[in-house]
Amino acid sequence: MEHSNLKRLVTSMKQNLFDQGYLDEQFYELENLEDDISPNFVEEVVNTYFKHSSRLMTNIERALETNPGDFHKLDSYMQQFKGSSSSIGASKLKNECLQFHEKCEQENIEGCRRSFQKVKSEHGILKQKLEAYFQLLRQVGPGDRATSSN
Amino acid sequence: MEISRRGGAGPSLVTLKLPMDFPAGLRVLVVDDDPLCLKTIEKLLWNCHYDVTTCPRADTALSMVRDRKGGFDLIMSDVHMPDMDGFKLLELIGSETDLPVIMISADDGKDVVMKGVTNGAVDYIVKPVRIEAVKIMWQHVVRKYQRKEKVLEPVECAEEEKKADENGENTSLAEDDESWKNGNRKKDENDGEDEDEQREDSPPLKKPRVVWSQELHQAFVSAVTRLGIDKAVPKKILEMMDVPAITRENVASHLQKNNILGDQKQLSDGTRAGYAPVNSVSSFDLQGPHIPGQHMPQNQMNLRSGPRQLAATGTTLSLLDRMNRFNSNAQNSNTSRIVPWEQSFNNRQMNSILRSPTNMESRQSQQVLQSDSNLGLQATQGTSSFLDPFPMSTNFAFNLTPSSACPVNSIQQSRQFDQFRQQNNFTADVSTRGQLMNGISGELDDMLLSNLCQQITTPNSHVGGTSAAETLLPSSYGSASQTLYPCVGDNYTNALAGNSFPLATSTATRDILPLGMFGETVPPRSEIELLDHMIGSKPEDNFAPNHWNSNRNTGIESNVVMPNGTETPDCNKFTGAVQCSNSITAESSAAVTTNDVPQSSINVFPNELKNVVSDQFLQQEGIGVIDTELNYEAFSMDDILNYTPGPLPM
Repeated sequence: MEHSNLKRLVTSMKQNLFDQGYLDEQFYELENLEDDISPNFVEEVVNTYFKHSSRLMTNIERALETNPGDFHKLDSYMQQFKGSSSSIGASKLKNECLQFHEKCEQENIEGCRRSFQKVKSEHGILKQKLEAYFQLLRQVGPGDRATSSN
Repeated sequence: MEISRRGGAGPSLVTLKLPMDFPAGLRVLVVDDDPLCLKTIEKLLWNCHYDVTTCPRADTALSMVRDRKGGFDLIMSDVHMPDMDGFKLLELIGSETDLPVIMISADDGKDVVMKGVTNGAVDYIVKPVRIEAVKIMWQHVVRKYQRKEKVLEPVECAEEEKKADENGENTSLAEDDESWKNGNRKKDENDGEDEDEQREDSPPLKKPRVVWSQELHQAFVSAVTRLGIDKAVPKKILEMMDVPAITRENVASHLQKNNILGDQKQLSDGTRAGYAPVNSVSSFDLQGPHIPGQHMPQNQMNLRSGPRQLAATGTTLSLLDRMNRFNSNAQNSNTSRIVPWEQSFNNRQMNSILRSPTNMESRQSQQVLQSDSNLGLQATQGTSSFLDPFPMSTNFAFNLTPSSACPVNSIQQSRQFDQFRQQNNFTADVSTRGQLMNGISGELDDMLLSNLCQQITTPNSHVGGTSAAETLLPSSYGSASQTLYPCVGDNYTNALAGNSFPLATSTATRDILPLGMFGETVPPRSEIELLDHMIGSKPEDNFAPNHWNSNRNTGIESNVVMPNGTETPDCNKFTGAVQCSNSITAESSAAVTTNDVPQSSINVFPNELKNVVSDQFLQQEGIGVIDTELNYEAFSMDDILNYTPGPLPM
């Protein structure tokens, strides 16, 4: 049936996200927090994330342009970004943040800029994928969500 | 959450009265500018049934904390926040409240984490925050209450002591307690070596330690000599010495250490008092069994609080033995298998002492023990796995220190020790952490042994019957352990020194405990527990003993099981006072349980405890029967406290 097909699709989408390293086990942890009280917890969290992370990225961008010498500040922003990203299980993004952090440590402004571009790019990709995922998930319905916990 | 004492039937552990569904309802304030993290952590905490309040700004959080004093149990704060640095918030909260603060951040850099530690955060969680980390967060709250409990305890104890004070010694004890209570340990300090801070309301981490300089020790020695062994009670010694900076406790402790033993100097080290009052019981000396007709250096078991250290001189063996017996009687236990010393030691008398139920009666036997064994055993660390329901993770280092009383025998002792070691597979870990004394199996460092041998260079000097290695004494307190136990960390070395109330000397002990009172060679369980306590809670570390300590402070508990027919002490129970006319008669084996110890009597300042215990131990004939399975709580402080000084053993 279509419904079960949808379910299968959702499951495989999620599996892909994991296999390709976009998501890690923290995402499962979020799913585990879902319950009757917060049935859409994961989606809400992810939405909050993208709002907040966009703000953070704007800050970083501005800092890179206006105050590129302040690596401490840049690193601080990045730590926040990393914290946020890791809290939803955004694995690849977290790694890019680490790279950015290293460039900050090296005080390599060009390296920071390049790294930041990668961060932006990964951020965009993840956003797309997760949006598609949750859209599908909404179609499946809360009761039928396949939660895989491996 | 209230702190209450629970005593009564069966081992009782409780120091805090926790709600049935604890930690449900724990009030946590989460501060993080990241809404995502706030949301996630909030959900996590909710799922753990905590009462969560979130706050995106540090300044708002600070106002909330200030406005709702007592409104939160725990704070979680992000490190990198735009309006205020997380460490700044930590500092402010720390200065205004005693709330435990946990830092959270994605930044796991060493510097940042270190900053959290040094600024007083109780924990540092790296994002993403997982349920596992959050689930057991409540431990920080419990720990805080226990610490507080201990801090408060002495106040009560002091008052009680004063009430119950019946003799001079007790009086001074009370005075000392007062000073302790006031956090004025400095007055106990003598030639200032290190003075550990420990005052105010924050749980003292270390106790100031009195350093017995040569001059001071000489004054002590001459006072004791003039008074005569039988009369050389700490109070009188103190009066004679007329040194303003020391207290009766210091004298008592010094007396114990030096009384006829002259070998332990291990006591010197400061105790790392993780938990102030109670835990801060610094080491005390335990006298080994007395064997009539023999002279043995009085073995003293020095138990240090803080890093639990059990320093045992020759007599300590008896303690070990006692503990061993205790173990054998006890049903359990974890760790404690004290290797019978007697086997290896060329100390037949000691063996007999250890086994005989009448050890206590003779000081002489103690001396005999001392002379024969001449080995001070210093065990550091976590006493009690047998005592403590929460086995300490700290290592227990057993140090053998040859008694200075019989320097000639040092080599012999070393050999004996080696033999003993081999025979009994007894090992002591000299390095900072060893195993619990009871059933420890640390390997005694050869290095330690050689150190020990080197240490035994002082001539036999007896003061009032005490063989005191005077030359060792002055320096030993702080340094001996270092010399002897080079691997030992500060905690270890400071065990005794840190204690502003030095262990009662064996002389004092003798005064306190009439030898005949103990039919049992085993120190009352309470003593053991006390010892354990004194040995040291690990403070800083997860020393579960905290609550044990607090227990002691509160005088809760007594699940001291008296082995066959022991009777509960009928001493006055008052905190901290060592006036026990009683007897904890421990029969050769067993755990002593006093179930009817009035709780109020148990409020004892750590020092008091220390003295009491040490006194008791010294009086004990050296059976280390420790019922490992009993909680420390089972110890009857009364026993310890209630010992009345008896005549000094000759």
